Amino acid sequence: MIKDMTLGQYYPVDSQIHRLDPRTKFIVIFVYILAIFFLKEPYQYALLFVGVFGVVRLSKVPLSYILRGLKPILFILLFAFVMNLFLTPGERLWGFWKFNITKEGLRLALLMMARLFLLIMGSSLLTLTTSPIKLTYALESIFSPFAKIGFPVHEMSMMMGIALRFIPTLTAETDKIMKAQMARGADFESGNIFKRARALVPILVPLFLSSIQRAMELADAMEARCYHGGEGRTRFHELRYETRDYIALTVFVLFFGSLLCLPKII
Amino acid sequence: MSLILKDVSYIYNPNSLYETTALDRISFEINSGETVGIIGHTGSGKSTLLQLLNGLLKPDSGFIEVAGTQITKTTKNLAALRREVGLVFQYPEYQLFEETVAKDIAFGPRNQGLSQEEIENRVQEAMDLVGLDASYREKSPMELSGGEKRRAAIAGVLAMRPKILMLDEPTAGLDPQGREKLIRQLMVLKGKLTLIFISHSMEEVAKIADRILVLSQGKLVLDSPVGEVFEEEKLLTDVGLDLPVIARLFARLRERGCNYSKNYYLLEDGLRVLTEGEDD
Repeated sequence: MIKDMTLGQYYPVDSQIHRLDPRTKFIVIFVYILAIFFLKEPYQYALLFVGVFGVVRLSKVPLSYILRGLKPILFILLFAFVMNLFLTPGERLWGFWKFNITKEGLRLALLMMARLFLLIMGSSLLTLTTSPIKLTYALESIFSPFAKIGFPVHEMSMMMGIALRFIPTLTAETDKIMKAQMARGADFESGNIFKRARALVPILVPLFLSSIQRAMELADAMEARCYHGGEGRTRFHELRYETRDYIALTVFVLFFGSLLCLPKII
Repeated sequence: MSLILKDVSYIYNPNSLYETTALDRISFEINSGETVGIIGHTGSGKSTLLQLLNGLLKPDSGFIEVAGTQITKTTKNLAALRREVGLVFQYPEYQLFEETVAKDIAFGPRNQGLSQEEIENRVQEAMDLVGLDASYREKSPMELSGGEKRRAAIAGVLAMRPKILMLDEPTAGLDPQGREKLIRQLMVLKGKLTLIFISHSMEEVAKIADRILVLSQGKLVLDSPVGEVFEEEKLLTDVGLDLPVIARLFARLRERGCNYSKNYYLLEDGLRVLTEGEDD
């Protein structure tokens, strides 16, 4: 059930994209997301699609695996498409009763779909090719300047790291508790919304209890090994920029630069 | 026939990087009233097997029939089956969630839609069966000791009056006393219903089970009455298991020329044979 969610799950293979410094990937994705909203022309999107699928190929993550992960948000994509298609005023192409499809609507709907799709593809590529631990290291490193003004960067990233680390554990635990209650005849699938909400109590209570228990044990285990926060703490794996990071950044800048400049040239 | 499996396979995460075959073409039958122990190394597919028998997982191929209900890949709505087959998971105490022990035990019967009076009877009966006296009724499950929690959780399953009771490592993590007590309760249940349990303790299986299934890497490698299983020392060690201590002692004694007819495996039998000799 819950295990079928592949969206944003790390896919452990070895590829050029996996080996990139997580900070490189973070910066690239950040700029990429901003840039998506500056693109206006269909051919720009077409080129961007080519670029993204090229990165997918390089990352060695099967395309079918990524697309399967998109299933849960298919509804949102379709919803955005339909809303834009019917609710944009303009030159009428086709229609029935009060619903009209306009030329502008069709264009906007397609662009919106492409944007959302690219947005999600891009961000899931980041998480698919970067382990959660590396993601938090990157965040900590990018935000480290803020530590000077008293912002607890290390603590925040440690918290995030722990949270990410325990998602699979909690998923497995939820699955186990659900099964145990189902074996006692619990029914999570029928009834109205109130009945269904009440049916969750036998799952949530044990889940909370064991989470609190686990949190206390983890805190003890960390203190027992003299954890005292970020001050003076060193790393086993230091993040270091390599040649491939400079190459990746250069390629990225050239690609996006030309993509954004194209309309002015043509 | 109370339980039939035919060429049952189960695969976790099919068609992905994490694909693992948990069970590989397993076939066996269990008659009603039998007490069957399942042993095998960690990851041999024992827990998966129990979940299949309860319909929580469905076989990828093959065919299962439990108490007259068939389970295949496409079967839906197994609520009726779960009424017949009680499954106690490993470390079942995490499933406790109600304010009082009695309420928690009543969860299963209440889901079956029984009358208040009947629920009351079932709770009482189940608490008697696991040896929790009336003083526990109004206690919070969180106040109980590990062993008591375990028994309360088992009572929660027994209260549904299953015809087949399955337990996944019922004594794991209990102290010797809690373990001893629980084994005694299981001995009381033995014969009253079909009992299927997983255990890592050879002593325990030797004591409780009549018949043993040995799993290794998803395959059923041995299915024999309990005494015969412990004659297969080589096979058991090959799949990462061991003989009960007493059986090992007799195996060594026989290797050195002692004329015992078999590997005794129960402590009492072993002591008797060693002090008084075999009676034929």
